[in-house]
Amino acid sequence: MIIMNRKGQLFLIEVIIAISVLLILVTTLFSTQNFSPPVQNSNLQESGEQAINSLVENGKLFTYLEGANYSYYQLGDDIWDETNSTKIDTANSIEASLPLIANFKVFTDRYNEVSNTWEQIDVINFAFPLPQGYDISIVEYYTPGFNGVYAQFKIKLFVWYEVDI
Amino acid sequence: MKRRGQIFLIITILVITFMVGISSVLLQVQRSNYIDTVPDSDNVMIAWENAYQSIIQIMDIELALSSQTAIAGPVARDITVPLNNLNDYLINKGLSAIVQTTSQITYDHTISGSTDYQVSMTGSFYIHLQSGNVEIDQYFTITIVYRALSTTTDVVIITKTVNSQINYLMGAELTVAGSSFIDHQNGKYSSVNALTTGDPISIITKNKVYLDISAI
Repeated sequence: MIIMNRKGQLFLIEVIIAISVLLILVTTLFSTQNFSPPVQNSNLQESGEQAINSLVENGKLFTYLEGANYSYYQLGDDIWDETNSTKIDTANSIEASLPLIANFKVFTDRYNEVSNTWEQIDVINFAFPLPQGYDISIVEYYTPGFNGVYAQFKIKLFVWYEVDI
Repeated sequence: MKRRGQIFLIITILVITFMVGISSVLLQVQRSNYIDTVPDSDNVMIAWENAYQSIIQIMDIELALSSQTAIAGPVARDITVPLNNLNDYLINKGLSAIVQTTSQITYDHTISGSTDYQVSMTGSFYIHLQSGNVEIDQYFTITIVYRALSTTTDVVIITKTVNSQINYLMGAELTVAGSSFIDHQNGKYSSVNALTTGDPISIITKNKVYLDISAI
């Protein structure tokens, strides 16, 4: 009887150890995964696409590109004057299509046919640093030229929320 | 007793294996709620939209360049270079891409100096885009028509039609001897001074398409 009781205790201890091992295993598996739902991010992506499409449809994008191109190649400015009314108008148009609490930054490139490289000719919201650790939505738009002139441009719109929500 | 111990050990191993298996399945189910399973689909759709718009832009530029010189239509135009540029851009974005024409790109115009002048460009294309296991294969035709119509002696209407969708053009420059034009911001332009039938009117749209008509 004494031996049987001891065997029962040993069995119980084994079961407890086995369950503990399983619990530790399951907890470890789940805790190493970073579940951050990208629900808000998809909204930003759509808003960014809408912002670019609006600029294309109302022709403001091409007016902006002409100005940025002139500023970079004719005036020699790395970044077009932030107080220029066309640039402000472009930034305001983008902002109007985005959620109120969203920030954005635009990088504008033109393809250099001689060096076969993309050259950055302007940045909108230059002072805004791209945040670290936030979800950023990126929308890129390419154009082969406009207004009767072949000249490849691409703009890259980065959008993110001001606060982590 | 020894055999009972062995059986117990085997059963324990089987149970642990089963539990780990169940845990893995649960983990995958949990993860699937948070992971976007179709990012390739988004990439391809956005690239497709951009490529389609770019082809319209290429046609528009080629139409503008053609209208600026005295070309007898209909005539074939070569847009291989800009199409290849577009193709390279898409490939550099990491997509498997083919952008090509499937018919001649044709420029045409009506009689220059008439009261209803039209320039047009038409072409057929094929686009193939693929990212991961998502792909698009599409054949389509694009026709762009710019039209300047003298409706009364002093009024001109300018339109642009892309695949039957009409847009009334604002911001065009109209030149005529002895007068200037008022842009009504709805595609309609009226002369400040009275014109005479047959007065030649030169038009340059914002897209640099040249149109020549006469007052009706």
